[in-house]
Amino acid sequence: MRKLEVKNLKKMFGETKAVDDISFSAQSGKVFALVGRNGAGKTTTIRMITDIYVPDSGEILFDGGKRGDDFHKRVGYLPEERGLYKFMSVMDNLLFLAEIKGINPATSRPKALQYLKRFDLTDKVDFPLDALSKGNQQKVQFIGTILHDPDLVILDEPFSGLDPVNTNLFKDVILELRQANKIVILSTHQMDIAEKICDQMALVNRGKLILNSTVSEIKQRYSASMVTLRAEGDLAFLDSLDYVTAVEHFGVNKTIQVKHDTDIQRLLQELLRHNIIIKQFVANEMSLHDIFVSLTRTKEEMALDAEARLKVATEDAA
Amino acid sequence: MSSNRIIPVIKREVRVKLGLRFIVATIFIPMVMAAIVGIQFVLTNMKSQDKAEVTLVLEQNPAVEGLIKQSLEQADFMKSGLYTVNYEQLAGDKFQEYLNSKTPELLKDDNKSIIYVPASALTDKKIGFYSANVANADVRTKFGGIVSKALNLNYFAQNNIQNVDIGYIQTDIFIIGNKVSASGTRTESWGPIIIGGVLALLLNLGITFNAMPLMNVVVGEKANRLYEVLLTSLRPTDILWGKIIGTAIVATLQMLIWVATFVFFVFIMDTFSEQSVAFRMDFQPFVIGYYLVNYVVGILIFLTLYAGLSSMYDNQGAASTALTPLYFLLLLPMYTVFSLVSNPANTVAAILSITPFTSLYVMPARMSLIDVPVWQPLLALALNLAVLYFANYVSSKIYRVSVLATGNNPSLRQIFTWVKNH
Repeated sequence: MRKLEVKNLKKMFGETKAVDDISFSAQSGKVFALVGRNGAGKTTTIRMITDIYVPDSGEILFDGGKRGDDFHKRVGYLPEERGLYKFMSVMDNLLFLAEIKGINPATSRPKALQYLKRFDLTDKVDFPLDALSKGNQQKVQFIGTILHDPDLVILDEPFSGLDPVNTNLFKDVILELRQANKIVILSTHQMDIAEKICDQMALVNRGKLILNSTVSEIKQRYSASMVTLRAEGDLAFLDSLDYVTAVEHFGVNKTIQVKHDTDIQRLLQELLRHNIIIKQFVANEMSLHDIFVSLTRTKEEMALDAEARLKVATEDAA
Repeated sequence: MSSNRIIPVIKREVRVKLGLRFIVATIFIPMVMAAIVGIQFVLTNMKSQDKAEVTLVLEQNPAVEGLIKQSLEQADFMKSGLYTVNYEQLAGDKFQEYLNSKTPELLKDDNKSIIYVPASALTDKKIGFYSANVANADVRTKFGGIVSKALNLNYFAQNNIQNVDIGYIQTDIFIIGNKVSASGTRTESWGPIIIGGVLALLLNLGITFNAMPLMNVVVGEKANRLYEVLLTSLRPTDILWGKIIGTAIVATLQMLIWVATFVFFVFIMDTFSEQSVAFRMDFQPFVIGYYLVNYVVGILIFLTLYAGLSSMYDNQGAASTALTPLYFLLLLPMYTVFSLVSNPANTVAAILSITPFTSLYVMPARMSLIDVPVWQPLLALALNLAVLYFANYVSSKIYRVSVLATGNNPSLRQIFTWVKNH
């Protein structure tokens, strides 16, 4: 089993701590989600893994050892900011990307044609990249990332700008990479997708790692004694219930944390007693999206949210 | 710099550059430049298509009139039939009256003119030209020469000087140069002088056609966010030197095409011209080798500077403005070559031929004109190689840091910090 280990990684830019003592490990045959808000330090971490940046301290081990001279051949990286040679043809771009990974054009061409067929780009082989739509350019870059059959695939926001059909296609290929025993690191803000395809997740916030576990464990941990509620009616009484420890608002949904699992039943009865019209009541289940928001929101953002809700409530009462 | 990683970058650069732009820059632009020079030459020498009427007014001097008529009969330009010549003999105080009477005619027709030869012209050679088109250099030059010749002949005749003596006096001295060198003495040839100028021009064209486009490529790739993908596979120096070497290969190929074309034309001229000696080019292998190495080193210096420094910018306007001093560094030394013609062996020329940047132009030019001690070109080359090493050192450090940096253009202080710390 292959493994990428990131140990105590630190990186400063001037006075700013971009990455502050981050450690995690990603294994082959698994999809590892590296998530966090914009500017959290994900891209800096990825750039250190891919050897673009040199860490100030810490180490990165691949297959148990330091990354050797051939590491660049074993990694495929799709950066968030896409970029290829616009005036070169689709095929020339792909062959060049494979060649700088040590694969000669004669070997990579048939494989590139196979991928282009799979991604419905066969008729665009000789087109200059500039003539393709943004989505198709993204597909070409995705092919360029995996064409040399890397052991470690790092995808930074691979789904942004894709239509649902292509999103599914990308998802399928990522799952195939997992099946092929590759290490896949996925950085995305689309938590619904991450929830479906990722095995493990690390959450970075302001340069620090605040969460690192399997997706199922994270969901279990944060969903225990948690109710996700969609309902109509005045829920102000929840604050007076001694077994309710926290109420958070995520648009139409609210998450209610209770002290014990047995309190969930009591909460349901209380809601009915207050004539609340329940549209959805989910116990011990919380989406990664909600977990992400609850863990990364700042106090200021929560205060602003509370203020906005108060304003809406006041207007409704008036 | 890793050789196996850099090769795909070099291949890509060469492949991309050997396209339509290469054909335009190598063949089309020099053709256009040659055409511009040719058109200028043709226009300058084109015969006037309009008929001109010239009235020669002489202050009572039939002898000079006779000599003018005699010279005009022999003049080639009169055979075109485009010139009508009238003659008037006037007393000295009548010319102003005559001119007043002819003024309406002169104003009506720009191609009419009067040339007045007063009696005083026999001693001071000052004559008058009167026309609405007073800047008509064609008539002024042609008829001025004829009048001058007639006045000379008149002067010699009055002083009893024989025609054979006149012919001798009118013949300019012709210096036959003989170049003395260790290998012997040979008659001077125009070939080396032409080669000196051509080499300076080729280096300038090579840099202009390759360094500035390279700047645009680097800026464009940065703006297109290409580097993040490339840097997972290549080191910054691999990308930088891949580009520089690829471009230098194309530039050298371009130079060889230009030189081959030039040599071909010289060969044609040598074959069909009676003055074949004047275009003879006999260079030592060392000199030819030096020309080539000097060209490659010059190209590499400028490519390195342009590629490295342009990586600080993500828009071409800002890069062009910031890199303008480099262009002067390219242009000004070229003009120093022209100052050599008066004396390529003087101390200033020797210093300029060794000083970095100016030596790129001056040393090849000096070597084509005189025998330069071997240590001088070797020293000049060593100094230029040192400049290349330093340019690479600075450019690599700037490039490494700045290809992924976006936002405001860096200050001089930041650039200094990058070079110092990375």
